[in-house]
Amino acid sequence: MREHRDQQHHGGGQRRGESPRRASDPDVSPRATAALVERVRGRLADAGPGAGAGADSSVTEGITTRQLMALQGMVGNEVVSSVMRTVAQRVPVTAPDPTETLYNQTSATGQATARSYGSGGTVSYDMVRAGDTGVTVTVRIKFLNQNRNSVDPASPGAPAGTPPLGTLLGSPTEIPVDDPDNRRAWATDMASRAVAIWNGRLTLVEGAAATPAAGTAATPAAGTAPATPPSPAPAAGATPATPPGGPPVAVAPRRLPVTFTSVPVFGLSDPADTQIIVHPMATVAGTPGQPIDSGNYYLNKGTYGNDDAVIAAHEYGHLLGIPDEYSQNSAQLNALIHQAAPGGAPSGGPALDKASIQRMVLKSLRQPLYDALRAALGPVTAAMRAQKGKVRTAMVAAAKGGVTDAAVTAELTRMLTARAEGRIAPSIPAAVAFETTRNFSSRSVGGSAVDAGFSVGSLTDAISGAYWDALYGAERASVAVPGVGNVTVDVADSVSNTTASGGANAASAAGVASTTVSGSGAAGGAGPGGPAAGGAGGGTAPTPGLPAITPPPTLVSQLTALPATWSAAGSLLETGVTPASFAKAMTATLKSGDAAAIAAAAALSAGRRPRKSRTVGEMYRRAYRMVQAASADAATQVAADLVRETVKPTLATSVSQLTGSIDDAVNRVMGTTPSGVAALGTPDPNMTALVRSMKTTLDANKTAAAANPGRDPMGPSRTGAAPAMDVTYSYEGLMGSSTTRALRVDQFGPLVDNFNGRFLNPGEQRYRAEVR
Amino acid sequence: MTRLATITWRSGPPAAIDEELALFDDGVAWLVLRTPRRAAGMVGTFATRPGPADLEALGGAGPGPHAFDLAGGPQDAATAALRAVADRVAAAALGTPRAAARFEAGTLGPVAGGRLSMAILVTGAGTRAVRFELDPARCTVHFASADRQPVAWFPLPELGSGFVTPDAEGLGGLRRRARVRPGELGATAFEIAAPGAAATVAIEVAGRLEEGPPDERAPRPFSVRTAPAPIPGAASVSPGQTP
Repeated sequence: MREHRDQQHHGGGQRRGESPRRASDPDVSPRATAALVERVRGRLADAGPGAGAGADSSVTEGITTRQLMALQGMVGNEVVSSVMRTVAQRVPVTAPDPTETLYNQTSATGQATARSYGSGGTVSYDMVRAGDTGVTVTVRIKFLNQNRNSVDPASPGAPAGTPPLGTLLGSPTEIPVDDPDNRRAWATDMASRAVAIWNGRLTLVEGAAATPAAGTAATPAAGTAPATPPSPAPAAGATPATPPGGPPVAVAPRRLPVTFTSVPVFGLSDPADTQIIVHPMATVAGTPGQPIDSGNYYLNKGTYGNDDAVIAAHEYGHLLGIPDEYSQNSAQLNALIHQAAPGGAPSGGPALDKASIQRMVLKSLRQPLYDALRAALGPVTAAMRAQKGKVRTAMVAAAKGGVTDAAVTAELTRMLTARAEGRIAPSIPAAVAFETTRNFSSRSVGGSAVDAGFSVGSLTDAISGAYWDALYGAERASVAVPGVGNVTVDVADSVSNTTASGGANAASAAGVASTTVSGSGAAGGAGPGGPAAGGAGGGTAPTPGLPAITPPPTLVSQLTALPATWSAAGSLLETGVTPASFAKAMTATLKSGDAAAIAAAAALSAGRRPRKSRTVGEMYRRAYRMVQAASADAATQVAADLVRETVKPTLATSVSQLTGSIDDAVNRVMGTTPSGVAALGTPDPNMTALVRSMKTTLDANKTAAAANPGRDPMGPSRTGAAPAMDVTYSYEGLMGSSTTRALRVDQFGPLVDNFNGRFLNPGEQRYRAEVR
Repeated sequence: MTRLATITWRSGPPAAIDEELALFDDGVAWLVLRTPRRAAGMVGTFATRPGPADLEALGGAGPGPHAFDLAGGPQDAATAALRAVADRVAAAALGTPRAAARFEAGTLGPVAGGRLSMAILVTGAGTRAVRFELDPARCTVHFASADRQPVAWFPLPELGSGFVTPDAEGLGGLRRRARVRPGELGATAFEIAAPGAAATVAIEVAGRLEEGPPDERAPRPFSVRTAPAPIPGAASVSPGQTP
């Protein structure tokens, strides 16, 4: 593709998007340009065949941009490009390292409060362009040794003047080459791990992005060389001219993959871009005075087990000047949206507000709903227990058929063989057959499992647990923010506190929970007198002469009706409690038991490991125990799955309806037009009250945050106003919550600007970031 | 029983530490680990009776919650003093688990045909059974090379069973609540495609923890990462580095 590009430009003189050269300029006269050609050739010859690799730009030193452009006109782009391609340019780059405000603290009321982080100085790194082959960004990290104060200045006997815990003491020293903890090797490892997630992600691409539609020119960013204007369309019926040599050749943009590297240095006077203290094994992170932070790494993190590769990658982003993108208030998120999607930012606001209120209501309702359902499950568990006989019959049949499934007997045979001395092996198949048929009581195994799984307590735990999962899943579902990506709405405990006992929204929440679960809304707190008792789901007394309106089914009534479906053909009981499902569960149980046995044996010394069966009798007893235990677990799992799978769709639908109700109330509260109100249905006054309360809270948050907008409300002075928030936001990508490794183009804006400001070869268009 | 003070240790993502110390008027301090900063793979509740001085310091600080940001720098003297006491009490509590679970990654043999047989292991600790349920959709398996470079990560494959003891007794934990008694060991086995360059494997175990201080009624989410386990037959971890 490179050849095609050069062919097209060769001899063409003026490159697209460039100003025509001025023939009258003596600097670029034919004679002067010819001299330039000789000069460059001479310098290349002096530099030898490897010129360029790691060299500076002496080949083109003293030649102005305009002269090089003229050179292109005379000898063509191919020659000039070949000169420039061989030149590796290295430039030290500095970029702002702004302070940042993160809402990652908690106030006494449960609100999110902010702290200021970051140096407020600059970050620095080296950028090298290797001609047309790529770009390398290198951060040199100086790893040193220094103690921190671990003496509590408030403790009795602390010397006067003891600094705060964690203060670095004295001056840093070099980590010895023969350090007993081998900290230099550790630091080298850390430095290399930091970049692993970054590499292969960023490519600098010359020119503007493709236009969104034919004939629509992209608007160049400020300072960007204008894109080539589109060719005029041929007149109708006209055949476009074909250039000599064949059809038009597509021009591939120049692409420079960016490699990120991290170089550890250990000398006190070594030049470096950043400095990190590496604490030895004797110093345990997390103990007094030893907080983990970006300037202090610890060999001994206790047994701290988070993904330090991701942490290292996240920290590397800061070394490039990219700030954190988690725990942001609404104004900070708004600024991030504008940074990521300058053109489409405003459109995301209302949708995000609605999503925020929905998540606030959901979080505030989780506990009341969970409690309400547990309290109301009596009829549901009774209905399920009433079907116990049917389930038991099915389970007995499933156990009887499943225990002799080939997969089960094969697994049993394998496990028993591994646990028996070789001479016993011939007896194993008979033992397996005996223990799974004549000596196996499917009635006992199936009956016991169903009895246990269908106790009131077990059923209550199973159903309420499934409900909790459904509610939590909806609450934590991310919101797609145009231009940015997925964002998690983090609702502070202050919001759920309002629905706890005695909280301002407790009555409304209880009303919604009661209505949702049982259809009998409690008196709420929507205002003086509260909303109407009974809520939306309580039914309506018949008006004389009119039939009574049947109340909609409640969650409890729906759940109560479910076990009756087990009698129908094709029901979950029929399709879920089968020999195949039993066999699948029992095989999995045996494999897991085997894994546990292997792990248990590995933890014991050789002399204490369970011995192999030495006699046929021992082997039979072992086979019996394994069959009994595994079949009991399989039956328990199949019974639990029956209950879980039976209620899951109903719970999911209920949560979906709840979010719909919340959305309706949000739409109403946020200003539905009068003509649209009817379509929203009869409002539940408790829900309306709850949504109104949450909107008031969110509005207050937004107003407070808007008073000091921008990505860093506390500012470089760290004293700017950052009022406590009830809702914060976290981008899910690498520089956010790191839920994903996602990176965005705008995060590389300063890096790309630095590249364009320092590395563009004559005639090149500005580059843009392409991220994958 | 009334809660007198709440102290939390938090850090921003990606570590997202979530530890809580709750002091009650019976003089007992409860430590709850949901995403711990230490004791790799361990979640649950721990309890201790602080000495009179520590009790006074914690109780005297007010109900809070007092939040310590683990990624933060030096603190003011009063905060640092409170944190020192809280750290001391938390460390003491860690020695007396009440209902805790330690998760580990277990490898069952070398990679065969590109597949690795492995298990999530759990061991109960404390004085009563720990209750939890896995959320497989939030669990992930992380492979690293011998030089500790991340190689790949995958969602947890479908599990066939909950946790099972070496005697094949079911403990639950998958689509039903697990109850793991102190000292009890359970495993849930699965197979996963293992990248060729992988030398160790760790599991991010996530779910719903049904343990908490006595005044908490509902379960809360937990997420904990196991220590990396070596893959049998793979290149060993570089010298001088702890796996």
